[in-house]
Amino acid sequence: MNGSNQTGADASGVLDMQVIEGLRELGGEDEPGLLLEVIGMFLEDAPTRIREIEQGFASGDIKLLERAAHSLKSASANVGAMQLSSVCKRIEEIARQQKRDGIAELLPESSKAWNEASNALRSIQG
Amino acid sequence: MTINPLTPANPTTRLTGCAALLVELDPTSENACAELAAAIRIDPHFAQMVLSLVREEGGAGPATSIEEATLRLGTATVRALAIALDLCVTECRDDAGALRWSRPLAQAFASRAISRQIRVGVPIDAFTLGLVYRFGPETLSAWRMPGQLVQVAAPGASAEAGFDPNEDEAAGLARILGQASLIAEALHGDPAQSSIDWARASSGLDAMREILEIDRPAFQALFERVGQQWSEWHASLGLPMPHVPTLDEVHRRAGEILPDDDVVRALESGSTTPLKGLRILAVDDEPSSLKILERALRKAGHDVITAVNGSDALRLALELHPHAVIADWMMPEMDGIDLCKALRRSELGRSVFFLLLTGRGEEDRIVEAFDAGVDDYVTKPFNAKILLARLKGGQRVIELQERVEANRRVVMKQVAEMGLLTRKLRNAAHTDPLTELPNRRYAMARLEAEWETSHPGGGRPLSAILIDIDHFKKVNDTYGHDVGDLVLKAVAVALRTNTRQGEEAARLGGEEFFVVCANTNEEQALIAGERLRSAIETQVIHGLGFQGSVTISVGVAQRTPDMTNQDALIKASDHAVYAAKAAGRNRVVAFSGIGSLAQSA
Repeated sequence: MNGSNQTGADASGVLDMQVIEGLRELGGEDEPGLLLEVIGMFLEDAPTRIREIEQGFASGDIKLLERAAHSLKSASANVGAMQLSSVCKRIEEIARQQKRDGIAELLPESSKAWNEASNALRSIQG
Repeated sequence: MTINPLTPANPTTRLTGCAALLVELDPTSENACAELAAAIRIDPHFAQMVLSLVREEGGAGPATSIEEATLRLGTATVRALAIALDLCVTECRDDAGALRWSRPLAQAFASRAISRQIRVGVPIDAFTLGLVYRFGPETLSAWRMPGQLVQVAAPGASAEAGFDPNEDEAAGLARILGQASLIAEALHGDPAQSSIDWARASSGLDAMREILEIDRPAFQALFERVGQQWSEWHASLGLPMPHVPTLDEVHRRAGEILPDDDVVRALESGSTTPLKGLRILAVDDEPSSLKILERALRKAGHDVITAVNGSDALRLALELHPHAVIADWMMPEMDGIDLCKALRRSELGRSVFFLLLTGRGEEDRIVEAFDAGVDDYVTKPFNAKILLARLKGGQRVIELQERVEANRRVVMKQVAEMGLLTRKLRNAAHTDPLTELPNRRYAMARLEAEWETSHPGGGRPLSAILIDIDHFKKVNDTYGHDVGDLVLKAVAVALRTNTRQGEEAARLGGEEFFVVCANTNEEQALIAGERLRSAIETQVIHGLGFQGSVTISVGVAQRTPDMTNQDALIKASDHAVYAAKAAGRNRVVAFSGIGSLAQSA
């Protein structure tokens, strides 16, 4: 837990630290592992969603694209990865209108946001 | 939902008689069909039972022989049924065995009915599986039962909610079996307990109806048909007669639990003690969101159940009656709105407090959510404090609802008690205590009602069948009244099981029975009469040192324009019985065929 002090500067550039603190507080004394557990869930699940977004885009499976973007939007917001969440939100909104226009430009953005967020979260994991 | 383990089957079960022959029989061999029929026919009574089960299956019109049914259904299916049934019949000869088979019979009839209703699997396979799945895959495989049956009997075969039309046969059967256990629980009780948990049975059946998507009247008919078949088989296997509840009764008895003391006190004082923690069902397909939601609710002192998709949530909600449901909107397949709609359609789900979680950008569609019956919504990612505050608002509604509900239960209980008493009295007044068939009073009332709606010359004919057991006095004199009663009961069971829709059998008194045949002309009534005659002739009655069969003389008459009232119709059928006796008994005679005896009509 003390590790957050050293890595705080690193993570705070990318992550919304209020969200992280909120999770720490929610865990409280009787469930101190909650923050790390949620981060762990995110890091485990997100690569699949990113793959689904790319796959959905490439194959024209808009439904898959929308669903994966929606899921990743919530999951990333839960751990304070707001940049990733907002890219996902934009992808989801386009997909909801049965379109793909502009998603090609968003994909590199999402993968950049994912890399930054995952590094920052790993540094919290210690 | 995993299938409940039943009382373990006797592991040393050895097959005897017909089943032992059938196990040796190779269903793929050339003569399989003929050999199968021959083995089944060794015992005519048993053959009759098999035929009664397979007759209506797999083709237009009833099959008239085991061979014909086997051709339609396949040797493997009929062979498996016969093995299962023979084992059941054999074991039911002793009391301990009989107790073991009551629940499997309920399971079997329920499985068959569900399979038919939802058109999944072969109904007879479902029936067989219901009877013997507790023997486990090794035993079933040793008996060389069809692969899909062996597969389902394996432990852990799951029966989740929802039916996929493309699933394979074994998966379909597993689901059917799982649902059928809910019916068996309402009829027979939980395998681990001796009594029925009405509340559990009631919510189980509710959940099942939602999952199978059957409307209320059809489900009620299905449940009651299964109950009737189950009870009829108790009678023909000589098992103690069970009480068969109606669907209404199951629900009513589930509601009979007295309200908690503090609720009653609160009712009297006009307010309820606030609920400390709520039972909340949390639903989200995204694991980290679900985790956070669960933690936030637990921390606030609530009891939390979680589900990761809409159909699991629906089943859990109907089973566990949460005070509140908090569900994500966007989920694959059944989303939050669909879940809410499905809940609002059910009795139990109508009162639950439903809070929807919406993503950013979904607020503009919130009207749709309220239309679906959602009580409130919170935007994701949610702030725990706001969520809990909203829930507190909901809690007031929930407490109010609890109070109304408790109030309603007290009233319902009183109404139900009155209703039950009236029904018991009415049933007693209309039932023959020995055979449990309707009595003369009921038969006459029924005939009168049918008389009113029938048209002698036109669209809705009415016929009556009068039945008299041949040489009944001789049975009584030779074997005593106990055997006489046994014969009367056996005839009653045969009449009940062999009458079809629109035909209502009753005992008039003595050895005389009567069947009112609505919307039936003389020709059709003759066929019905012959069906009953042959069923009784082939039925072997045993017990109390007696073994044998009896015959009946049957008189059939149709309402004609010259008949002034229903007594004339009864009289005509009586003349026909007399003619049947005079012609040598054990036969069916129509009134129109005796002509010359019309003097007293």
